[in-house]
Amino acid sequence: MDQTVGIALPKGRLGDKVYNMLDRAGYGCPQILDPGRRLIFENKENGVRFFFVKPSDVAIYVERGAADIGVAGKDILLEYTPDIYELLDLNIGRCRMCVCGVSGSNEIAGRPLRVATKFTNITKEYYSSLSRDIDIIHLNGSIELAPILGLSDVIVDIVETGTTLRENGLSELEKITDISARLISNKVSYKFKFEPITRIAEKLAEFV
Amino acid sequence: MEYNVKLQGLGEKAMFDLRSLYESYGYRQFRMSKFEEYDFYAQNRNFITGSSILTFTDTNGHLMALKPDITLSIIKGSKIGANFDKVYYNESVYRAADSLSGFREIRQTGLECIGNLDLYTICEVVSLAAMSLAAISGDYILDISHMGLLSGFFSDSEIPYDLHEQLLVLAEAKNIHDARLLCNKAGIPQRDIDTLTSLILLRGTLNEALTKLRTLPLGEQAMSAVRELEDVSQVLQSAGLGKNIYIDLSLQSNPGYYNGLVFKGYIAGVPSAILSGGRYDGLLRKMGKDAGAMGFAVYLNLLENLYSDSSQYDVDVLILQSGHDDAAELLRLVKNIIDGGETCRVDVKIPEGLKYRRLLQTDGGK
Repeated sequence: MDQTVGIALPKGRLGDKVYNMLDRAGYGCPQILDPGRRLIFENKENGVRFFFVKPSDVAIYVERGAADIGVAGKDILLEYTPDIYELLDLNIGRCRMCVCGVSGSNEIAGRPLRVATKFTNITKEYYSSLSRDIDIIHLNGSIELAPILGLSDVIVDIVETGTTLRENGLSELEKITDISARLISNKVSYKFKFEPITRIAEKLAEFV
Repeated sequence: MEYNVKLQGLGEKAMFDLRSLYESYGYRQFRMSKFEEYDFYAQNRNFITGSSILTFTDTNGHLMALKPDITLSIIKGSKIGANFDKVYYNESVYRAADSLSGFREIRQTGLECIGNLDLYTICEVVSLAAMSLAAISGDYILDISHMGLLSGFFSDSEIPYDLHEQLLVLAEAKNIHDARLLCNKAGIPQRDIDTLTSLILLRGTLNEALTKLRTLPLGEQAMSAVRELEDVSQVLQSAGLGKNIYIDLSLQSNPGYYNGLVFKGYIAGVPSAILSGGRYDGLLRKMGKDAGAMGFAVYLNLLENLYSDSSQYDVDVLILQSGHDDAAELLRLVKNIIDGGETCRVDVKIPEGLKYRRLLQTDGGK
């Protein structure tokens, strides 16, 4: 079997950071600096092939075997629970998944708490662990608007600095979990490309 | 008879090859109906992969289910006696799709061995799993593990019961960073954390993995599972059947179903496990049967995309006839092409979308 390792990286700042780590670890690919119209970048000498995809799609590419390894946020892994190996916490892209709202808005009693979020599975699991009845409102963006307009009591979302929340009169009420970028691997690729994949993980671990 | 892989599809070829393999070991075919009463599955939900069942009402008003599982039906009908009940099957099951709503049909072939399992029988089932993979592709891996190893380690260690399930999920993802975090928060002794992470990461050939396992500070319950792995490994290697078999302790199949040796099989090019099986004595006990059972399923539908190549030809040779050809001569030509190992289609014009390697045009006998 071809031992070239296909690596799916998230587009954007996080992907750039991870590529820099890989480059320092000896897995760079000069083509990336001059991408032109190319979508896939290969360095045959060090046996890697890169491509950049939407951050929320990395786990799908890896689970389905289109990429052997990839880098995905823990938020995506918790929300979609793909059947993959999670080899390393890269300790970058750090933020937290929180319940946010106006102070005291999570204390409502007498009716289910209305929670707006795009992370419905994480939200369900969190409130289920508290045995609390909730009404989930699935939104795809601008989550902070929901409590301001009375659509929900609170929101569950990712908080990095908290600036957007503060500017809209909201604050962190409860922390659900810490989030960071993780190196993930397709389970079958890990078995058939064990040496190159574990070597990449070990090299990256030196920069964490 | 040699089967033409291109014509049949890899799944169909595998189905024939595996049937022949299982019959050569004396397994008899189990045939079942497409439906069972819904109550039967509802009572045994723990033993079904996924929770969704497709139901309908039959003409007598009974709530029926399209079968989501085959093993349950085999065990229900199995007669436990002094000898083994050895059966194989080739059936479809119906389960919820992984990501979207709706259901999908999964073609499965596999076998079950029911009775008082001894070392030979356990090794026979494991080696048949390995031979099933080898029959599909030479580039295969069979991972084996033991459900009693991690659970035995938990019982022997100071890890509290309420963390076991979470740690098993993390083990299955080889996620040692979160496992360490969880254990540190719970104040687990460092010695137990180190052993746990070594177990989660443990992977190697039978000899490599067992050598590593012997160096770990394991208690009596975990060691009992290690000894069973050692016994099976020794037999398989002595019989020359240990090739491509690895021990990987992160393999944690449904703990509500399996209780002993478990295994999963992989083929290069297929992105998920194509074979899954193990020992499931609990199901027999639930059905009031005093015996053990072991088996596996091969998911033939996963082979459909293997070696798929969008440039692959529908036919090697397309002959366009003029309508004035010598029929006998044309028949001879077609037979010669087919006897030469190529596929051949005769038509009057090129069918839309047909991919062909060569195009021949007759000259109408001129």
